Amino acid sequence: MAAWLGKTEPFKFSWDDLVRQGSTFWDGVRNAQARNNLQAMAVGDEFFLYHSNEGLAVVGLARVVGAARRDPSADEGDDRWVGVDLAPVAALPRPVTLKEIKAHPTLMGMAFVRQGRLSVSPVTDAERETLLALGGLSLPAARP
Amino acid sequence: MEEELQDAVEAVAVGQNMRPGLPGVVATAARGVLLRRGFGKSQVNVRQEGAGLAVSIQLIDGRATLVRSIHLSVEGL
Repeated sequence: MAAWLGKTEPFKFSWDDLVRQGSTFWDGVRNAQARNNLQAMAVGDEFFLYHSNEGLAVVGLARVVGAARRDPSADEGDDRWVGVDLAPVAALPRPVTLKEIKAHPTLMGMAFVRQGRLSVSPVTDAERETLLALGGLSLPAARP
Repeated sequence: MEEELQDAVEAVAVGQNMRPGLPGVVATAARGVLLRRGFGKSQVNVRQEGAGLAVSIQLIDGRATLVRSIHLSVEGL
């Protein structure tokens, strides 16, 4: 089981939207590297949700419940883009801010920090543990 | 043109669940109308407003001067 992080502008789609709906199809990705990350996801993987533009914090943890499939929001005939199905696991009791992430020795090198425009990025085991600890969420290890 | 824009954005949004890519789909639908109407330069911003979406369109001329603003509201998501 791997862990990932996805960025969303909360005024377009927020953690609260995901919780209210119970699931969503994470679509609209139009960056090849982010697309590759979506394609690498497996059912059961964890997905941290980060609020960009407003909030600037990791706010919740979701789970991949459906593997990558074609993104129907892409232009007709354009099969390059995919999305995955997500369901919420839990909100972080204490959101982990970008400021904290950039200041933390384990988190400052996170892919989404190094590549600010990458909307979907991998999260290492150490980064996962640290995010969960800072966020006050207790879960089993990601890779048993 | 507002009516055509409203029809276009409602066609892609009404009845849909909110999802990360939906604002982009709405913006693309609006841009399609603008292009057909000969407006090559525009800024389209979509954000949630209540249970729907607010679409803000700014038409820009060749000198990057704002020539017109259009605001739409989409409900029934």
